[in-house]
Amino acid sequence: MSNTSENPNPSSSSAKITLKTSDNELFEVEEAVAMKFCTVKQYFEDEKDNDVAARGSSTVIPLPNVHSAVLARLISYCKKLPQSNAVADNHEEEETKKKERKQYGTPGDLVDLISAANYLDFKEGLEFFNQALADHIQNKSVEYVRKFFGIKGDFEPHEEEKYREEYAWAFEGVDED
Amino acid sequence: MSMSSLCDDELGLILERVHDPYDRKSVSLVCKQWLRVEGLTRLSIRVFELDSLRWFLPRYPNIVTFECSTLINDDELKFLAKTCPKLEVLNLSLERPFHDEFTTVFDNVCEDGLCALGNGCHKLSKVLLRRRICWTVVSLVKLAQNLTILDLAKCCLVTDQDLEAIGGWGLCPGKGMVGG
Repeated sequence: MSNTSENPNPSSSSAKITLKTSDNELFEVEEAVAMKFCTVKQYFEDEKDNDVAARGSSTVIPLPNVHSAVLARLISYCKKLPQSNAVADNHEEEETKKKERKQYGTPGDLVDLISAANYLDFKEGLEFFNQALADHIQNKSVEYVRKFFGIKGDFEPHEEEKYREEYAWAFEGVDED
Repeated sequence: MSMSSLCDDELGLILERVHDPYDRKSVSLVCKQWLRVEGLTRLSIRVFELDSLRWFLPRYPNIVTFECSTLINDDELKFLAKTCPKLEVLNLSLERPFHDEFTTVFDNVCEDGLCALGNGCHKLSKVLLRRRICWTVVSLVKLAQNLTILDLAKCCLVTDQDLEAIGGWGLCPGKGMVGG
């Protein structure tokens, strides 16, 4: 997935793209990193099509929905991405990945990262952070999940009781084969 | 920390990764949004009693696997067909036949329920009806184009018409049937 052949500039592999966040911070990132964000890629390509003369010059791409603190973390995650998209195929590897996912901190951080990754259409990141959040939900009580995510239950008391009873008497989920 | 910022789509992508039945139960009781999104991302359900089916099933329109081993009737099957069009696996096998004090109790099922499933659930590929004594599967076999596995073991009243229909259906390679 390389666009370098299109670019007459031989040093294009280190070409930089400038991203501007919601708090007006400017980030100069390598093209290869920026292109992982499909929203940026789309914008960049549209710009190129619209203005051939501007080719190679550094356009500033505004990201009004992304805060600088979040973008910085996404970029650093992006740089660490393995070249291959190899899926963890053994238990040990999966455990390592799980540990890695744990490092991404509080659910609040993860929610921000997910929203930004979603907006930027950054697929690998979205997958990673979604799984990180899903890890946190494993084997936890309702109360724990609420506290952990800072969510207030908004059911009427009798409503919640009804749902709980349903689970006890009416149905359950089925374990995967 | 503002935590209400996940939209339904984003929450859905997370809950799709929660597979354990107990975890799914916990997440659905967190709040109304989570209940709704858990419902939309749930793929399987095992029903113990059908009295409240009309109340809870509509929360789960994307169910792929439905299991139930209690007496069931045509109306309930029709409701299932209408509510869960993505159904692929229907497991209604019974552990043992139903008996009341004197006789075996039969399901109140004619053709209608299975017809509705064959018509409404185009992806239906696996139907398990073990010990469902007096069901007729002619129309199901004719209607469910993607049916590949049909388990009629211990269904002692399979009719000639059923067998004929199955005979016509079973010509495709890879299809399997358990009978007896």
